[in-house]
Amino acid sequence: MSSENLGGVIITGSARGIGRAIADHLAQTGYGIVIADLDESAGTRAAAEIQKAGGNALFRHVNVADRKSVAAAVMACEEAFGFIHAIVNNAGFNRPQHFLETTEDNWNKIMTINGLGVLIGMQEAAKAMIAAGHKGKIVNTASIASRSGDAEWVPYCASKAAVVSMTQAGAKALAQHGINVNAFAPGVVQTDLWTQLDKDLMDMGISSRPGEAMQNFSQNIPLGRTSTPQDVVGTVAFLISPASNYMTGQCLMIDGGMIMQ
Amino acid sequence: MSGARLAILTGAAGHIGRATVEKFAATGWSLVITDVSAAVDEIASTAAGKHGTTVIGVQADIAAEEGVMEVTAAAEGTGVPVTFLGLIAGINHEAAPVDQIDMNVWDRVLSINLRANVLMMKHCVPLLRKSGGGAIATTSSWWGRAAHPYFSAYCASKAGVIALTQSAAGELAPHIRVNSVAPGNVGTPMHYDALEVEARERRIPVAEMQEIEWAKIPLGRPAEPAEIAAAFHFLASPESSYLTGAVLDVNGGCGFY
Repeated sequence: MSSENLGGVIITGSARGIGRAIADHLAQTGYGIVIADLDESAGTRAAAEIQKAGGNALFRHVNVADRKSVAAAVMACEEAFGFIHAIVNNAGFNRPQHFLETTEDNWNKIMTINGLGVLIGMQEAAKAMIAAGHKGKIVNTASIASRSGDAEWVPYCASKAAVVSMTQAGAKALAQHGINVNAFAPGVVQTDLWTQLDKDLMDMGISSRPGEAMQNFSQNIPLGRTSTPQDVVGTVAFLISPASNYMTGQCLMIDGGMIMQ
Repeated sequence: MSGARLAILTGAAGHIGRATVEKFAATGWSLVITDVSAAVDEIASTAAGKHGTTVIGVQADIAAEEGVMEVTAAAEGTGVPVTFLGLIAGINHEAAPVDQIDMNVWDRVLSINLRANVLMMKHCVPLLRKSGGGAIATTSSWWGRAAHPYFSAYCASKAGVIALTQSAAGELAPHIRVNSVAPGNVGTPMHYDALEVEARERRIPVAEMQEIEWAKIPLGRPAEPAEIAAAFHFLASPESSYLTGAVLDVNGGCGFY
């Protein structure tokens, strides 16, 4: 590893799950990491664990829908690590409801975090990159739900389709500044999101035992298994590295072949 | 990645091919590289000398089964497990409206760009299986994602490559992953020739044709061949272990899908 300063990467929703795995990996590569999350205790612990493993990380309490907290995290990233090289707009959640029972409140909460949260993250990071004259990278977490709607979580699907669309718009808007914007679309990943989703689906009567919902959803994965956060990490690293300098506006499926298009 | 591993790369004497040979040789892969062009031998010996890895060149026409078998024989002869097949060979053609197509040209383009890919898969899959699995990457194009006038054979062949990639991905899972790289504009003679040809067809200067095409690219320029090679390298690496049936659009933002 060279002594060149790689700069900092903000990862939203990185106290746990996919975000945490990305944070660990990028810290090992030599990026400074800002764990941007709502969960203060898990987030501080994540930063401490990364530090203990030899990386550079700090925690900032961030609500991705609150522009001030996102802007503060960007500033903290610049102060700690010199400049912001990338943001991974990963924070997101699901709360399934039957299609005919989906409420405005459910829609608004999910679209705000999963949708508006990604827009704000792109904007605040891009402003800093442009001011610093740094050709940075923006990576957004999409989903197989971006490409295929499901009856039990229509706001989630809409929000993840929005991520793809915003990735394209962001790519067009920021190309002139040398900033690449791409998304990655995981399939079924073994994280707390799915643990909760599995439980929610049981409560809705869609499945009758723990693990059943995830299993049903995962039946026809060509690669024959659900994924772990580790499976996703290599693709995000690729999208943050110079190896992907000619890619922008794209959504990379990392789903074991669930959706081929 | 521990242990010797071998990649077979077609179209190795083209610009993307050469850059891919360089990237793989530089990262410890043993290689069997093939092309119709005799230049493939020199490319192989240069890469082997520079990187100290096994690089064997096979001049062959992979549109014919005999040519394909020469390539697989060379790979088997090394005794190194074959774990990656990079299908890069591809040709373009003169612009022609559909009502004036030379069917020999159509057949040749489809033969190299699509049929040769399935012929290579047919003969290389057993080698990958013998190695315990691996990956295949094909070359599509942004012109396979959305077609352009006057280049129907090229566009149809590149769209076909995506379908072939996904069919194979579904069949060969879980041990063999199959993905595609869909470049946009790459700064090679093929790109500049196509600009000239289309300029002539539209009766405008080449410089104007280039401006029209490059204005469609958010990143404002065609790719370096090395940037396409980087995508093949990613698809051959463990970093992409959960991708199959995917298309990597390395196109500077000129198309979104």
